[in-house]
This record gives sequence, C-alpha cells and structure tokens, in this order.
Amino acid sequence: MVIDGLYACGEAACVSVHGANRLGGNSLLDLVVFGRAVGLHVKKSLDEGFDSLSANDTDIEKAMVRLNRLNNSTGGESVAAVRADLQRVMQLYFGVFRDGEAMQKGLAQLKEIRARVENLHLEDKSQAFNTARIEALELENLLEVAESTAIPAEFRKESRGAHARNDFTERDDENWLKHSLFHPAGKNVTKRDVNFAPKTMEAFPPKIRSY
Amino acid sequence: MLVSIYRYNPEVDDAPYMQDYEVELPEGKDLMVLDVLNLLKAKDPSISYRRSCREGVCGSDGMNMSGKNGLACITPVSEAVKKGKLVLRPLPGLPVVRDLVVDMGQFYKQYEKIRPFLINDAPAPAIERLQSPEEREKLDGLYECILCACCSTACPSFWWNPDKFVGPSGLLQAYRFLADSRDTATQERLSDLDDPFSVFRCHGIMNCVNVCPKGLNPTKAIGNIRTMLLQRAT
Repeated sequence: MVIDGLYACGEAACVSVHGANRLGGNSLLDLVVFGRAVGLHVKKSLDEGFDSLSANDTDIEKAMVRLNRLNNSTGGESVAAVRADLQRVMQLYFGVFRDGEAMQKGLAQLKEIRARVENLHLEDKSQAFNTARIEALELENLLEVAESTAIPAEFRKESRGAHARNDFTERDDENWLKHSLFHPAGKNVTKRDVNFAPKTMEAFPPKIRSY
Repeated sequence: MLVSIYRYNPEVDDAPYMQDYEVELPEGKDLMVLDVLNLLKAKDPSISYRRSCREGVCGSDGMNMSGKNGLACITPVSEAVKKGKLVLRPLPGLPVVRDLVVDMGQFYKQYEKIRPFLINDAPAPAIERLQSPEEREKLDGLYECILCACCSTACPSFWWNPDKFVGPSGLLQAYRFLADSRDTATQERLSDLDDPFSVFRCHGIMNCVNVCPKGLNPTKAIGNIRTMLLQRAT
C-alpha cells in the first residue's frame, strides 16, 4: 500500500540500488539521484495536492498506551541494562560472520529481551528535556530494528554482500535473488522479486563479486 | 576519577548546582568525555545531555569541559581532566534547558539572519552551476562548520550582544556565501551586515579559533568580511 505524503529517507529508504544492504558509498547515489527525485516528487505532490490520512482514535490510543506505560511505571528493569544485553546479542549472533545455529540461539535471546523491554522502568518522569524517556522509547525501536535484522538474516540461507554465513558460504541466485520482506506484526519473512526492468539503460547482470 | 556535572532541572531545582560522581575508568584506555557521560547515565538516567553521532560530525554534544568548549565525543578524557577532576558544564552564555542542554534559539536566529543558502536568481542551467577548482578552493575552511556553537558561546562579544552580534559561527557562514562564486547576492549580504554590531563587535579575541572542534578560523573570515565592507565604503 502506498501512503500518500509519507516519505522514508536516509538509512530507512532502502531503494535497493546496490542490493538490500547500505554499504559505505551507496549513500552518495541515494543523495544525488534519489534526493533529487524525492525533491521533485514532493514538490509535484504539494502542487497537485494530496489526501493525507489523519490519525484516528485507535492510532492515538496506541501511541498513548506506549507512552503511558513508561510514564506510569513503578518498577522494572533499567533501560541501560536491557540495551547492553541487546547490543551483546546482536554483536555476538548477528555480526559480520553468521551461522544458523548461533542465530537460532540469538533469536531465542531476542525473545527474552522482548519480554524485558515490555517491563522497562522509567525512573525519571520529568517533562523537562527528558532524555531518559527518549532512550527508553529508542530501546523499543532498537529492538524492532534488531528483530528485522535478525529474523531475515536467519531466514536467508545463503551468503550475499555483507550477509556472510558460515553454514551457507556461497551465493545462491537461483533461490535468493530476492528481497527479504519482514512483516513485524507476524514476525515472518516473505520474498519479493528484484526489479531488473531497464528504464533508460540496460541493467547490469548480477554476478559473483570476487577480489 | 571524579566527575563534576552541572545539574539543573527547572521542574525541581531553584538554582543550578554541581553534582560530583565517582567513575571507574577502564585501564589502559583513554575514553572520550562522551563515553564517561554515557557510563554515568547508565547509573543515573536523569543526567541530561544531547548526543547523536558520537564521532564529531553532528555537533550535538558541544559543552564546556573543565573550562574549555568542545565536543564531548572527540575530546579524550586525558585532555579534559584538570587536577584529577573532570568538570562538565553547559555551553556558556545560552539559557540552560536542563543540565548540559542549552536553548540554541539565539544561536540559530543569528545563523538564520545571514541567509545560509545560495542566492542566485539566474535560471538554473540544465546540469549544474559550475565552479573552477580555484573558486571552489575558496570555500575550504568555511563549509565544514557543523553548527555546534562551541565558538559563539566562547565569545565574550556574543555573551554581551547575542541578539545583535552575529557571532563567529554565523559570520563564518556569512563569509562562506560571500566567497562563493555562484552566489549573486554579495552586495545585499554586505548591506545586511553593515552596522556597528553585526560584524564590528568582533574584537579579535580569537576564543572561537581556540575552541573550534573542526579546526576552522572564524576570526579570519570575519577579517575578510570587514575588508569587503571597508572596500565597499570607499
């Protein structure tokens, strides 16, 4: 579903020019090509006008529940402790070299961390520039990102680009020349075809990268 | 190591105070000041400061460390510790929102005033507005500013007249566009600055040069603006 007026930019955009992962240098193409394209598109949309969705009561309720759970917390774990464990799990099991068995272990530990994140304690309830609250909300977001990294990493049974698996060392174009789509609601992954349709010039055929 | 931090929460404190913390530093490793703050925040989440990129690019964690302004993320503890103690205060001269967080409004207002964008009413060419390598070179040492406010808040003239003196950061950016061969608003830009306060409150104290974490030289840029203004007057 395309939501009019909603734009993703920067690291979140994933326009997949170089594949799914954003390596150093890709940002340049994102800036120069897609920065311009987005600018032109935004201007066109504004000139033509568009219907933006407004938040309904359910949306607002959901956001308030998230915020109030922290604001009303009377006990639970500290953000720093849970965040340190999240960092450790991601570093240990989903780092540069990956392995199916290790990732399974990591996924189990992420589940435990999910339970702990739902039981965070916000000690500082101040309304004045409260960075403790921001860090608590950020930790919830970090866990979302961690899951969307970890679950598709385990799902993809091959090595490709920065995704290097010890148990599947080869690249497998037959089965995995696909985007991984992560669905946070069900925490499942599906595949989507890569668009190779040439627009103004021939697409470069994908090939093994070796040095 | 002893760390003394400026604390102020407007909701509960009548006045700011210094709070002392003892922190265990890992051996054989020179942490950055931001790392120390992060260690302390893990124990006392109420300590408030801005931070983002943690590598001297975003300019969020400008603060006063044992008397000198700088970015906490790229200042080694060994450089900032004086007599075994690390003293952390908010950037001087701006209103404190909480602890080490200052209200940057005044600073941004001065930046906005100098119109920090390219002005050229000629229709844009099909590809881009070209510049010779020599013309481009004139912008080196100017465009790198990250707006951390370390310089302007180290400047006594800015402390006195934050509403009328543009300050080193804003003036460095003003000159960045005055020196740009593609910008056509030079005369209007100079007219905007041509009063007793905007530029001429700079007394060449050079605190700005002393603290700039990016090694830039606002005093030199201000000197160049003065020359342009004086040449125009004669």
